[in-house]
Amino acid sequence: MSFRCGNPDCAYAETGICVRRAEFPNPEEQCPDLRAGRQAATQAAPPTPLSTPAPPPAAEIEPELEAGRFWSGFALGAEEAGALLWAPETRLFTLMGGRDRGKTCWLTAAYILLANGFTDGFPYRFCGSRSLHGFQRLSDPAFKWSGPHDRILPRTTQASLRQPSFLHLAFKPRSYSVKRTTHVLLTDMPGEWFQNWADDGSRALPETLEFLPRTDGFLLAVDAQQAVADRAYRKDVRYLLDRTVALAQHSQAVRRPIAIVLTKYDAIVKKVPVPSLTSRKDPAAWGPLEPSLRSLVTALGDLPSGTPWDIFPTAAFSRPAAQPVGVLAPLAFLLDTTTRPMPLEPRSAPREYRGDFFEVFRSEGL
Amino acid sequence: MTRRRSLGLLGMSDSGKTTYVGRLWLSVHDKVGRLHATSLPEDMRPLREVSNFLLRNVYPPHTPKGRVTAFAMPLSWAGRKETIPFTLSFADYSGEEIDRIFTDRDAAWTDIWKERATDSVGLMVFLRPSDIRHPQSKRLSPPPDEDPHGPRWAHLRDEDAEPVTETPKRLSGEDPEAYFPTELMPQEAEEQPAVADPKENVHPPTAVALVEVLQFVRHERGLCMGELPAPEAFRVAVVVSCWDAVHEDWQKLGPDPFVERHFPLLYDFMCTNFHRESVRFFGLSSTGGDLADPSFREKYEQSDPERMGELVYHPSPKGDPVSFPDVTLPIGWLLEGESALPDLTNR
Repeated sequence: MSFRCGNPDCAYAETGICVRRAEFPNPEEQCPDLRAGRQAATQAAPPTPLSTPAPPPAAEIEPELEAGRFWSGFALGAEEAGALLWAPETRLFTLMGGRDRGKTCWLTAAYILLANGFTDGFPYRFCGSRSLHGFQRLSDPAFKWSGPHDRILPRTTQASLRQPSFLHLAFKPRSYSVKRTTHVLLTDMPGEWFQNWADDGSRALPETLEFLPRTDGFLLAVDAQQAVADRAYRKDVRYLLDRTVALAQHSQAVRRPIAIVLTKYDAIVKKVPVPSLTSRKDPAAWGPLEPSLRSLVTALGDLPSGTPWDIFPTAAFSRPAAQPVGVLAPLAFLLDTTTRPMPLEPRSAPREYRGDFFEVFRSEGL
Repeated sequence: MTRRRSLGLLGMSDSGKTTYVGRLWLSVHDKVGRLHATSLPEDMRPLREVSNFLLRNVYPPHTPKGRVTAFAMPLSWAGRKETIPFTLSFADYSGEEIDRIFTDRDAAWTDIWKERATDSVGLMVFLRPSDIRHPQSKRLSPPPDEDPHGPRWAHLRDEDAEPVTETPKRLSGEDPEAYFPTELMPQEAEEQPAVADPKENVHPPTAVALVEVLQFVRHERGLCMGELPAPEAFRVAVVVSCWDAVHEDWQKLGPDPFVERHFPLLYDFMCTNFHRESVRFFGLSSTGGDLADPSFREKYEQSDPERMGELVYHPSPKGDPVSFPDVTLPIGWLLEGESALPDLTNR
């Protein structure tokens, strides 16, 4: 049944994200605005026709004691994500990039590829997700895409997202002999937050990006077309990478790989053929992209020794066929190269712990 | 008092659950399979209703939304000495419930579902090949052999089909030559017209909704993501219904590769969350053909419905599929594992 949250500022019905999540970590169970919205929708619903058998009564009642039995299915909030990060096999991959650089499209395309089994060359199998519904909602606009000229997906804006949210996937290696499960948390944040970080440095972290120091691997979305044409944009990307490299330098114990994800590559593929795998790290191999990549490679030179990095051309919805291309390769790279040592903490957060989950990781300098 | 053993049926709308229940009853009542009915159940009405449709040469109608029908069959194993009779119980429901659980989560997870998740010795997951809802956008290019005009689905629509290519071209390879093939070049290609209505209602894709409900079932049973339950504790039979309607190339390959190719998310989920021995893929034809097809229906009318149809499975993981006319085999396997399947040593 469609509904609107009772709070006019909240787009929970569309985004699955409650604006009062700080007060009510489990909004389905706790948020009075959401409850009011659902009640209003129930009252406004037309009566069930007599010819239709009535649904089982239990299903129509919001269970009180059992509410919150399952994960919401949408994006995970800081608390849910923080709890998952206690598990040693969880990896947090931060998808960075300025506004409108294809971050959400990349996430959506990755989901579409995994869900459709277009995973040749991806050495992991899907093992589960706490945010299947969130991924599906993310990709729903792609189902409804009405033509080649409009946006495929709505932009993730500061207005629609006021707190960090994470999408979750679990993987196991394709080989049956390896039983290890790896949990991956992927961020989907507005580009403005990263712009603020590039501008204000650590002062910008507490507001929106406090999870950043806990990141296990970075995906830096670089708009390939823009990187060819716009020198100011190139510099913006460089500033963001400089911040990332500085962050990586803080912890010499943990190697956090960086994947430079060239998004919207379909727009320039005729002008800039994709270099071979062996020459991909050489900026000169990228033709018109060389100035941009040379600048980025220079910044990457300041990474702690041995930190893996690579460059990946991708097209989330390459036109006109709209087929995702190269999207899973950076994810496989991060999964393969993350070297976070297994922490000694218990496998799950202490039951009584109700504080700021990320504080623990900050205080330990991780 | 006989022992009660419960199974859970899981499937979207029109996935063949009700038809299978009717066919199963005809089989066990007429004692033509490995499981035999020892008596009539206390409440015969639900089984009589669904099986009568098949006796009248039509499929049972779509189960209405909200209706849950409980079935109980007093059974015993055929040909076994000192076999202990048991009552097999399970429930049939409208497939829309799966959509509803995916959407409404806790609110749709009723006590019946909790019981189904925890009390069942196994699950039967029904997939209907002609009713696959993909997670990909209609606006996106379908995978090569899922093209609406491609051979597999053309065949299901009774159209002439080209030979099937078993190694469709993939686009995520590492070879730069494979990146951005010419047909994806934007500059010269014509823009495609929109094929999806912007206001079109979008349902959860088949595999995504089923995987979510399976995650709920596992969670209810206290299993962590990726944790493998003991094979004898919980088995899952993935049943591709209407197997007779599947393209003959896929029939030759068998249900394992069919599910892997057409339901990759579900297949990966099963591989990563259950022991190999805990999951089996079956191809099921409850009637042996399409009752909506007049020529087949005529043939069906002249036959015993208890003996129509077949069950296909792979005796070994990479082996060729084998076919048996016994539709009780998935139930037997869920209850007792490999020992319930036919001995193929002299076959």
